[in-house]
Amino acid sequence: MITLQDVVILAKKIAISIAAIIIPLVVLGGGLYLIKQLIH
Amino acid sequence: MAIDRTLAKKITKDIIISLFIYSLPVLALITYFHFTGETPWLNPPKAQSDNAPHFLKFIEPGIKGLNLWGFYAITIILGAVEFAFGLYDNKWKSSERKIDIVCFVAPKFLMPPVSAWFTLTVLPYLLPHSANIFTWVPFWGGCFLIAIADDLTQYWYHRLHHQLPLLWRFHRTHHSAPYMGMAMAGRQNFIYTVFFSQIYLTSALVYLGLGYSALFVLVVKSLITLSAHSSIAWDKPFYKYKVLHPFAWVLERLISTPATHHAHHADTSDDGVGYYKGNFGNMFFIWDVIFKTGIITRKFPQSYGLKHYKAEEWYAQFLWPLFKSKKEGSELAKNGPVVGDEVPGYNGELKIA
Repeated sequence: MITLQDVVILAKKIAISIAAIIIPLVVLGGGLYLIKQLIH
Repeated sequence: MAIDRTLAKKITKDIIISLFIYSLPVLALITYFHFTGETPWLNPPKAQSDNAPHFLKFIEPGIKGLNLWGFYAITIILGAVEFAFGLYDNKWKSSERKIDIVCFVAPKFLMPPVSAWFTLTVLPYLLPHSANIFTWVPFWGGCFLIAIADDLTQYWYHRLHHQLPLLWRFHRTHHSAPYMGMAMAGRQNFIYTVFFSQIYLTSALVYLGLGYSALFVLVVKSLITLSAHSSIAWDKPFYKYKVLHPFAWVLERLISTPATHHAHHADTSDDGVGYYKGNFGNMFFIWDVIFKTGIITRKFPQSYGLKHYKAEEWYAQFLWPLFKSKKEGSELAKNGPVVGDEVPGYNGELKIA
């Protein structure tokens, strides 16, 4: 049976997972987008 | 359970360094375009493969085959060889077999719908009009980018599951096997697998147009990570023969080898060989070198697994916290401890053989 404490742990885990996707994606995707804008 | 303040500072510092590492492929591409004067984004190809080196076309079917079914075949064949040669030390009991087989088979059916939903529904919704916008990235640049993005993210995902007590129980199943080999290479709690950050990050980069590079990088990564888990110690000759020592020095710092990864699965860190508190690298070991979370000893541990293992039921190991163990005192039981013995966290400097 899943408890409230488990739900909190799961929520924190999902938040960490999402952060680990977004941070590199912003650095890399943003970087590639900047190349296009900066170099002519 | 709170984490140690020194550890929290170390994690923060290493995350900042990682941001710089993530930006390296972009910096390399800027330098390349600056010196060559190329501007491929002005006339981008339809697919990244259109501008890839031609020789890759010859090996492409083989690479695709490996990705589709080849690695399953390799895992089963190598596993059979390991078993036939007694490399599981008679520790592959029926309870362990059940966990290994469920963890190997079930995600093959459960993950594709999740991946398909993420790629076909979530990504177009979150990144509209962005499909294939980066097909102009050269093949080599895409490989550099995917290798760092995918593997550094997995390093962090893995490291945090060891260093943050609240995450440890999601990763525990991978460490509960008292043996090394193909049987346990895919042994993971499903919640750990389904929230693997690097899967979604790499899917997003593929959606943006870097699919061809991803295809090749993921094959190399799978070969390295599978062989690092194998009980066939292919790296031993590199340590045995003096002439190979310079190669060994580079190899063991660059990629995960059976020696460094077996150390990560040891059941103790007290013998100076095992190091379950570190050696978090998957494809690349260099992250452990950079962040000083690894040891290199060129030796193999005496025993593997967890000292506080209670041979929990397969359903608890595969689906905790949705299903709990009935074993008293287990980390996976209803009121069990968060961490059985001590927090498997950072506590060391890189040691050289």
